[in-house]
Amino acid sequence: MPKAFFIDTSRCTACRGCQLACKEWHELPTNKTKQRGTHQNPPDLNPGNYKLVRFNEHMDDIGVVRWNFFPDQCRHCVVPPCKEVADMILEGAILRDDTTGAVLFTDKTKQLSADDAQVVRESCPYDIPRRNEETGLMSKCTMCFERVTSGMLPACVKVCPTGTMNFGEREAMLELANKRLAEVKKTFPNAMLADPDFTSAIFLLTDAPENYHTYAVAAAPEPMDRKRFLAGLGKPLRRVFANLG
Amino acid sequence: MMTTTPGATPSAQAVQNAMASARAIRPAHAELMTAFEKPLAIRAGLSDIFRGDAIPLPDVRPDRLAQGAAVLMDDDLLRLAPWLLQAARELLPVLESSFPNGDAFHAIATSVATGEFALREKVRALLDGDSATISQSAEAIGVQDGFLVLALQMIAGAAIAGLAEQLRNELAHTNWSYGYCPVCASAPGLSTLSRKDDVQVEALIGGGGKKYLHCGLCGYNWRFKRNACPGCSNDDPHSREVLYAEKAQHERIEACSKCNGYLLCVDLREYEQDPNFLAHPLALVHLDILAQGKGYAPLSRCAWNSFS
Repeated sequence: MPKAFFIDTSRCTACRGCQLACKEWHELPTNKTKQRGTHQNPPDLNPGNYKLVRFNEHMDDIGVVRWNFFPDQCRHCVVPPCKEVADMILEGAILRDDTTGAVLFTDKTKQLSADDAQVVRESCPYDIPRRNEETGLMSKCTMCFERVTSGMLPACVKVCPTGTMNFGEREAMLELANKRLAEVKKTFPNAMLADPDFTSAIFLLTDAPENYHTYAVAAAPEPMDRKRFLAGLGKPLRRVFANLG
Repeated sequence: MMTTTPGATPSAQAVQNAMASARAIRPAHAELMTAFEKPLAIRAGLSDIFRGDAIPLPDVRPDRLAQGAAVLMDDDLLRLAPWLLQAARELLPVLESSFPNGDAFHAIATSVATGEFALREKVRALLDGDSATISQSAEAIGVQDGFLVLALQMIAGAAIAGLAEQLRNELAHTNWSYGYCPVCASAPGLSTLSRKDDVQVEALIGGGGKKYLHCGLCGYNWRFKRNACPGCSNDDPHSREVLYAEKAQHERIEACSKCNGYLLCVDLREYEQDPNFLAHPLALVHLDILAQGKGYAPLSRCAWNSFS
């Protein structure tokens, strides 16, 4: 039975417990940071941060300042473009576990060239994968695969004190998401679920997606298809070159 | 409509599903889980059947409970006699086929069928912790004590679990603060820390972590104070310790150096779904081995946590 996250941003207080729990569970290295005039820290996802609470501030039509929080992470797409692209370059670099629906970057990603890794990165409509330039390893949220396959909750969900982060069977999460959406719409008529049919990390947004993050929802399909098309074009040539040694 | 085939009830299926999942997570315990899967599934199925079967229920007396007298304390178990016989008929052949040296269960089944073996009295002895009577009975049948204890635990567990379910609503309104089961007075086999509470605040989910004990025989669960040993009520933090694997802190050994007992505890706040409380102890046997290696004894002794 595939699993899914339901991330209810209407409940998020940006405590960043999820961000910290992720870092601690995966024993990820620290970041060198500096004050940049925002609580969003580090400034972006990186090989040491699979989860990042993004902060976005804007004034709405009636002059009210809205401060939106977006606990960004891999969406574990039902049909992951990153895997489709990576498969054309090096099979096994990226896997999708059918049981949980987790999309997993393996050690084989180290064998991808910087250019290939960039193609994989660009195939992600949510701008999630990152590459460690020293080791070549590509990384992102793992859905806490080893925890989930042991019957445990992902670390970010376990630690969330507000009910923002939820995890369970995909059907149950979709049901919860729709139930919560109906409730939230009473206060925020424009509330929406971000790409619920295509992802396994379903965000509930109370504001327009662009008021959270540039990549809160997938871009229009054309650019993504083009990237995949271009990546596909290179595939036979790569195989030919590989065979020529 | 409730099925009368014990192996096909929802609880029996739940045990089998839980065993399958646990085998994938803990392949080292697979052999042990496979051996106990069918007996535990049938035991769970029988409980499902018994919970829907009306029998004269014992009185739930708050005054007696307040003094620590479990419902079945001093009960002659006559009301349970048909269930005990049915459980024996269903479970003993399954036990016989589940273990390589299962002949002992055949001998027990023969003795029960011929009426030589007063099942109700032996279950009473089990509840009373009367090991002398159990030993004598085992000797009379020509089996080792351990086989008879396992058979009686399975049979009594199935029957009393059915009764406990019928008493659950009534017991829920009573206070029970002891470290043994309010239904059958058996020791707990597992404890849990409860899930987060619904605190009815829009942007806050918290709490949970309340300690519940699960009876090692009938599976009834009740609230218990978190800071004390269920075996001896010792609440001195300096003589109690918690042991766990670094990456599995939700599965822990709670040991007491005063009574030298231990009880395994699982934190439900870490689990995606509640584990099956009948099957889960078998997935935690590595903790039993560790605890007993440190010289502690289980509060509830059963076939899978008794090591020679």
